[in-house]
Amino acid sequence: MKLVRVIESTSLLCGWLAAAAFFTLGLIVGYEVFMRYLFLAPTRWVEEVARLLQIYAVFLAAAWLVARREHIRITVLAAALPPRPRLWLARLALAVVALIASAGAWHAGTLLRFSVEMEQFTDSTVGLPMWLLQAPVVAGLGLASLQALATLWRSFLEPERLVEAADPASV
Amino acid sequence: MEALLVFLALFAVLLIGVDIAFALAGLGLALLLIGGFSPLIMPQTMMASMDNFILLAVPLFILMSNVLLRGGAGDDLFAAVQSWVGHWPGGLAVATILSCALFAAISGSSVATAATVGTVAIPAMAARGYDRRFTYGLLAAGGTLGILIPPSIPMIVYGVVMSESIVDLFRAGVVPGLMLTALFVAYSVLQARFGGACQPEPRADWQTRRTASLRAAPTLALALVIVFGIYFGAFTPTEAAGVGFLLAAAITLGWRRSLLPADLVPIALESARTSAMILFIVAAASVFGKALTLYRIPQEVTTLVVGNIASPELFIAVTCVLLLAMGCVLEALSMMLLVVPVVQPALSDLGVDPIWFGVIFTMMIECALITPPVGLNLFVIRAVASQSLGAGETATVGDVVRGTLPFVLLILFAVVLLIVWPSIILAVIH
Repeated sequence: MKLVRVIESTSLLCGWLAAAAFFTLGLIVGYEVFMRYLFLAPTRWVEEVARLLQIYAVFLAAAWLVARREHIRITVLAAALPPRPRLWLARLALAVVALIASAGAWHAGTLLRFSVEMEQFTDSTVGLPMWLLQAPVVAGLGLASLQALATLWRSFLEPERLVEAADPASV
Repeated sequence: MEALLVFLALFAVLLIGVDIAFALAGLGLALLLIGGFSPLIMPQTMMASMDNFILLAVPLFILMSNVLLRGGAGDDLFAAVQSWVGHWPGGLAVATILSCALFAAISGSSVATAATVGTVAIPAMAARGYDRRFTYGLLAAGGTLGILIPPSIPMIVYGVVMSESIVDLFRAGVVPGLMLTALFVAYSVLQARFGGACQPEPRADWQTRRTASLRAAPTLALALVIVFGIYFGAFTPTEAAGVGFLLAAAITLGWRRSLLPADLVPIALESARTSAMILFIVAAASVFGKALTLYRIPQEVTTLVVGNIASPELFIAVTCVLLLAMGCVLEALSMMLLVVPVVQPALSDLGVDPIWFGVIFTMMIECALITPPVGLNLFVIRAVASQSLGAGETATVGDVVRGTLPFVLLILFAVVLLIVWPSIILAVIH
């Protein structure tokens, strides 16, 4: 249970980091336009840093959304079922999510290792190491997989939470 | 046959309730593995799809509209419009639609538009005796203007997937957006005159109009900065969204003082939630799209289409029927990300203008947003109505669905007009 709590806290932390990244992104893109028009001093780093922040934000938030069951999904079948089969359907869906996310994290890890070994860099002004862009994909999908398993585990202790989350009214 | 099997597998996974993003990425990965392609394409494609400056417009427009929404911009717009047209027959309904259209010009999301205007309009219309179902339908449909009148998040995603100009898409959305607004207004006036027993609003005096208009002026000015900034090339849509976000923060924190710095925390969290939800589907759909391309499925579909359908108009009409059916079971953005890569080669072979197609596609997404059982706006309006009406009164999704039916027909009527007279869209961009 302690491990489940650690995973949930990490997902929550990643959600906050994603929010901070999106917010910073808004500030720097606006800053770039003001610098260009008001001070005639366009920046060279904003575009690349903004793209980097977007990659981090999207993948870090993936596990947070799994924890809150807020990724968009179709609930037509679940809505037509009584609570008990609905619960098992939600568990099946979580297991599939865990499987897909772990496979994705595994292949992303292979890609990252390859980039480190080949010493790849981005073909841009700033020239960032490629692994810096790939790391959030590994971390995000890996954590999403763990989070799906943690939610699955919790569903056996507190099934009502998963049934409520599977309710189409929560869309 | 291969294409049919792939889509059947996808629908099976989606039906058991797997998150759409993971279903798309998982099926994409499975196709890569089965076809003997490198599975490393999956993480590489997901990362590359997010490494995109144009897509940054999505989280930035969401941030901007959330700042304005929490800062009370929806209330101001509604009050200003109401002070001018509230005394017309069906005046509150007209004010609601016009507020939706104005809020659409600062928000790229239909949900944000419906929720913002709905919060103020539903209690006001209920108090004036408007038919409940008509009110819900009006708000759910009015909200969909948010994705047709620029800026529009689905149009940004469409432009990225199709490699088309976002600016052209935005320009092309203006006239259909205004046309649909006019149709909704006309229907509201007719409904009030012949269908409902609503009480008219008293005419507002000049002082009230002046005060309400002045309060809404900064938000309207912000919308103008964004729209004209993009159209005249002062900044790209992404930069416009960044500037819009800073100006929205300046208006709500500095000028109007309707927000405190601490309010930015829930705004950032809410915006991150919505942005990540959308962008993660885009990343996953790019894997699925890549796998389809490697299997040459879009080419198969093109051969099938070109061999059986000769005219672009017929192709669009068939696609619209397909989208109408898909919209009943699929979430709007996923529908776009599934269909667009498949039909893209057929568009060029048939000589269909991709901007024209993009606008019509967006209007079909509007239908998907208000058709049961998965139309997102139906649930949003039900939730907003239940919250706004207070104790003892609840709204059901069935009420909202019945209310939206005339508006679905109006959207389809507008789509037919745009198919028959493509120059309504094309004249603006060429």
